[in-house]
Amino acid sequence: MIEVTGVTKTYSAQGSEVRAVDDVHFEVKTGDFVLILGRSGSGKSTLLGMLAGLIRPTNGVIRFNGKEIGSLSEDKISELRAKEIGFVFQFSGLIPTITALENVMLPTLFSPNGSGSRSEALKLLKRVGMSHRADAYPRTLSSGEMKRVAIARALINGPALIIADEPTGDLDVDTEYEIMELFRELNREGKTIVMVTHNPDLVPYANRTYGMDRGKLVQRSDPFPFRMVPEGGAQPHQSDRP
Amino acid sequence: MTSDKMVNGIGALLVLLGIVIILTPWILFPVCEMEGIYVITQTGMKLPMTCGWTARAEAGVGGLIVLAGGILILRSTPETRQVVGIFVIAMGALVVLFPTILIGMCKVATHPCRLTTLPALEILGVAVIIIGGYLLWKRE
Amino acid sequence: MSKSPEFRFSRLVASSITNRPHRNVATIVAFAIIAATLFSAQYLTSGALQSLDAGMTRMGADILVVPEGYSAAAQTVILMGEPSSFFFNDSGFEQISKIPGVAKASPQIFIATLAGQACCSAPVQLIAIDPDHDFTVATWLKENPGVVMGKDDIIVGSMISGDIGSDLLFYGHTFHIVGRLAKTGMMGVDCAVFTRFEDAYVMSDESGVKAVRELTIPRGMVSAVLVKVDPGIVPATVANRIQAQIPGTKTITPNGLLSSVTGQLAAVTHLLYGSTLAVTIVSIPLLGFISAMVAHERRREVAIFRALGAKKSYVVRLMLTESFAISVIGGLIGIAAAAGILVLFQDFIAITLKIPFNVPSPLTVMIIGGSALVLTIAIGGIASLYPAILVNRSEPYDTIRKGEP
Repeated sequence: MIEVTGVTKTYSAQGSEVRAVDDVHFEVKTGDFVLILGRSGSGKSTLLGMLAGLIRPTNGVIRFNGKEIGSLSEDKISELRAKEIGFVFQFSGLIPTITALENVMLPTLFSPNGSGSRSEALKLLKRVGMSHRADAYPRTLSSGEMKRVAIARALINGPALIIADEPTGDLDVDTEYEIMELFRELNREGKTIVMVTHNPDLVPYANRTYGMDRGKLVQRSDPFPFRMVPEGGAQPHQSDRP
Repeated sequence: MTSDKMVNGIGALLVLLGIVIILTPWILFPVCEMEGIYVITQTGMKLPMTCGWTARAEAGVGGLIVLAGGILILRSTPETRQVVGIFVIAMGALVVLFPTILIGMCKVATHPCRLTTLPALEILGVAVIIIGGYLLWKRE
Repeated sequence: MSKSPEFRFSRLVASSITNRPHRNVATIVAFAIIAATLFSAQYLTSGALQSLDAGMTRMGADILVVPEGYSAAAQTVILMGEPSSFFFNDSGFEQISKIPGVAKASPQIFIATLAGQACCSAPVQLIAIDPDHDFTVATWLKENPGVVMGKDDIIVGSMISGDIGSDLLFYGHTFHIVGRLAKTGMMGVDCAVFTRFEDAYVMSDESGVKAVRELTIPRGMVSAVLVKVDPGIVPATVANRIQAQIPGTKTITPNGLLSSVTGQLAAVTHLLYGSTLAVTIVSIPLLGFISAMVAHERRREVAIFRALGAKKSYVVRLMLTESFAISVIGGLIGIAAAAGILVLFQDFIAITLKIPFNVPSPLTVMIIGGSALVLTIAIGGIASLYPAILVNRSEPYDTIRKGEP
């Protein structure tokens, strides 16, 4: 589904160059649940942004379903995002001036089909356990509730790929568990998930885990943090999944 | 739920408007000042002109509006808002009706009471009515 | 069951406006001030011109002939209703009637009164007419067939108080009100009382005994001669002939009055248009700055839209539509407020600015309001265009990550 070849992202900061992402190669197959582990500042969010077409790589190629993202126009990338990719932001990213239900329906305004189905949005809210707060404004919701709404929003256009940036970052343990179970369910239904986190406890949910450190990506074959494994030589670790 | 801060703000606004209504016919847009709003008839009697009576009435109504605003600041329950809203609408109507129908102003069209005081009171009265209506609408 | 209405672009715009009241109130007030200023300037000019037209039509004259040296006084009488008395030789009237191009001529005597009404001291202009030659009041009488102007009967302008059938006292002489003219906005007509020559002469004869101060109207002299020209003739031509052939006269034409009015109005309208220009020049960058601030604060929101698949053009469209909506709201509020104040205070404005003034026709008001609104919207659009484009420049994802939770 996604092929990343030799991708680098460099930023210029106060005269010096910073490599947020450094010569990354990897692949995501349809149906994968990929976890990218790393400390903050490791470049994992930047990598995620590039996968979604939100950040343009300085070097390298990213292919989505065979199409090179870099060659597409801004508008085409936006269309792609609207149709194929569901995004869950680190801080939920709900629009404060509209209700939870309207937040879920928001991506439908941007998809080529025009406005979306309210009933579909309500179904999704029910699925994430938020149908009773459909008319609530984000400021009255807890972090966990906002996160659920954000996940429902990510699903409204029926995307094949879900990209999640630290989705459980600011949640307590119980809520984190509930959210991760939701992701697991979605993965079981066939959705491809690429998730970025600093929490190694989430590794069991994924079928493939990478580590990221100072812009470099390495695939991990075991749950211990940041032990370097040669590229291409690692085996994808299968079900630790209970 | 309309915030208490907003209701207090409306109360303060009513107090302000009430004061302006009191001051309008006496200081801000004073009514005719012929010999201190009295007219001397041919027999030498001193009679207040019509606009003088209106000015007195407006002072009274203005005072009541100030009171209503003060009550709203002190107590902003939904019931109070409702009562103050209705009261203030009635007071606003009086502010407009006194100089136009109930008492009136000088008959001469070029007198200050007709040129400036009357329009000013009409605008103030309508403003008070609108605020009262808003209070009634947002009483929850 | 959820109460949320159908979710569309319009709802997104509406929610952004209604759920950010503090930010938007300042912008709305700015637009209201712009619209109010634009509206007021045009409204005052229009009202003055309409009033002049109405007044001159009511007077019915193409040319006004007055004594040389009293042209300014005459204009003040007509335009502002400030009473005055002046005379020239009546024989001029006979000559005027004979000048080619003159269809009708009507002599009038202007008499300033001492105190017009029972209680109040506003002086009123008494205008004595010759019923045999008059076409000012005669026209009105034709329009109101039930009214007859007999002995001691007067017809009053719209601003004179006193009901029809009641009496007014001038120089000790009692007159009966039999009719009232419609409002023209021109004080010279609205504050006038029309009586007949013979009644005026009686009044002046008796004034020595009955009035506080004696009034003298010299026989054989008039204050002004109103002239109607033959159809198709240019009044200015006849006016020049009159001035040339009859020494000691000065002619006033509607164009002359017009330029006098526009001259006085010019000062006011220059001020208003100047303010409008100043307000516009200041407000575009100011609104642009506010827009930019708002756009900056909304960068995160915009970035989220982009991340969710919105195209750049969509974002620009959203922000411009919001600006449009706010400018319409502000514009309407400003125009309504300005119209309300201008209508309620119209007499005060007219007297203070010394211009004739009548409320323009509803159609004119709508056109003026419409053009003020369009200009306001255009200003809003220009001001918000650059920030709308600017906000799209940053890479969306950086903005989201840097944002607060």
